[in-house]
Amino acid sequence: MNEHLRFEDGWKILEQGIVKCSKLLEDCPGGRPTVNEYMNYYDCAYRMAVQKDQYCQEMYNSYKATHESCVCAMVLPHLMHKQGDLFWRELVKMWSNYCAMIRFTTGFLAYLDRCFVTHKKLPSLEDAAATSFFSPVFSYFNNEISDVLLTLIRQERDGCNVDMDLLMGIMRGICRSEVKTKLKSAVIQDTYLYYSRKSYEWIVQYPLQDYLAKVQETVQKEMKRLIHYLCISEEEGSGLCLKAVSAPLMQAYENYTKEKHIGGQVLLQTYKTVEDDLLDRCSRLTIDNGLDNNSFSHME
Amino acid sequence: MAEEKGKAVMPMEVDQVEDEREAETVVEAVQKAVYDALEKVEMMEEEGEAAVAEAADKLLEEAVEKAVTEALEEAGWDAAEKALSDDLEKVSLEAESARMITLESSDGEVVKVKEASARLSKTIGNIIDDGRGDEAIPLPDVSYKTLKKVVEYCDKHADEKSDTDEQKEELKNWDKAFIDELAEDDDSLVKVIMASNYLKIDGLHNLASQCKTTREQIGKA
Repeated sequence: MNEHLRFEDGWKILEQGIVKCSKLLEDCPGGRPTVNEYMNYYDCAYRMAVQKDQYCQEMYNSYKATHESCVCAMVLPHLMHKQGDLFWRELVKMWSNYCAMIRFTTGFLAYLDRCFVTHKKLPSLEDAAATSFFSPVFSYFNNEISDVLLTLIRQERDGCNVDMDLLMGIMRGICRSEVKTKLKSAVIQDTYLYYSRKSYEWIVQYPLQDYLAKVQETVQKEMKRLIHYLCISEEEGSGLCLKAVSAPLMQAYENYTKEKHIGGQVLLQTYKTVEDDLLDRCSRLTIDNGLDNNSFSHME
Repeated sequence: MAEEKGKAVMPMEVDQVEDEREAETVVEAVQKAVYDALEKVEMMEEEGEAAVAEAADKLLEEAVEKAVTEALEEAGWDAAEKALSDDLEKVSLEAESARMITLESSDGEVVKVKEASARLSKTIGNIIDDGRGDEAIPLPDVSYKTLKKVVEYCDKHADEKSDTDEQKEELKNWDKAFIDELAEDDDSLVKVIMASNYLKIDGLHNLASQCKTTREQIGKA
């Protein structure tokens, strides 16, 4: 047990384990490792991490690369030539299967996760695996995945019946990955456009006083929504809400009052006071909105 | 009916019931229901109506069940029956919690350990959670001698309650005695540190590592 294990030899064993588990992506039987296999892989990773010449960084890099190869070879073909609901259902299924796969593969390298990864402040193996999934998926299907997610968020916003468990399973997965910034900017942009359109409807539909009340209510609701979907803090949520919700709605208000030559300054000032108060309260909140550690089991 | 107010009498304690006639009534009621239903079945079978006879069998079952339930309720035994089923449920839960996990050391020896103890190891816990707790779990990095010490620690910590200060103190004293004995042999101590690291048993790893650090500091002094 104590002889030195070269990286090439050790990784060959671990790669076999990951490839075996990747059969779970296609619902193949035999993807689950036996107890003997599991402990063999775990033992191999442990030895490579604790021996004198340890290969922690190499294992971490290879772990990410091997997972990405599996995704490119086995997930992307399933998503090809699919759009809308078909694309969504296939994506949900593949992500669910991938979560089952990485339950084992992160288990093999659990020692690496708790010693090396924590010490070096690197993304956890689960987070790295999420990046290995969503990075190629976004590279190849940026439009499709953005469209389907933004459509579902819009539908939920409009009160339609949306399977929130499935949607949040994917959203949390993306938020664990390095693709999060892409998604965040897409959601913010879409929210801005949504409320730009809404502002023209509402400004005609409601008396000005009611419109401002509606804006205040919407800002509060939307802040909760953004925090939930993007797994961000209250502070960040309030900042994004100013840009994406408050700005277009108040722009419409100002344009309307100018157009109609209404002295709406008093009302506007009232609204500004309310908004400042709201944002001040938001910035003082300290509710933990960190990522849910169980986001991977969520899909199983 | 009951010996004390509010205390239900179990069916097997019929001979202790003051009013034995009540017990006889229960038996008679059940017997009558059975005989009536049987008669119906026989009549139907004589007439050669197999399908109807099958339905009558079901009717017999229902009649018995109904008669038993009514008779037991009348005799005030329903509470006792519930208590009995609760006990059975409790027993099955205890049996589940007492499930044994098989561990195999690097030198091929087998150690059986309670699931609660095995779960103190996060590595083994992952395997159990995946529904593989019924298979022997090989530990290629842990010898039999070391595994026995690890299991001793896990058994103590899985069984022991540490709710009160007194219990916490007692467990602390046990830990001290355990680690002092282990530390008599430096090689054993190192192997337990490595095994607890390998198996991810945080409590044991911290305990053994602290002991090693202290010994090294004393050695330097």
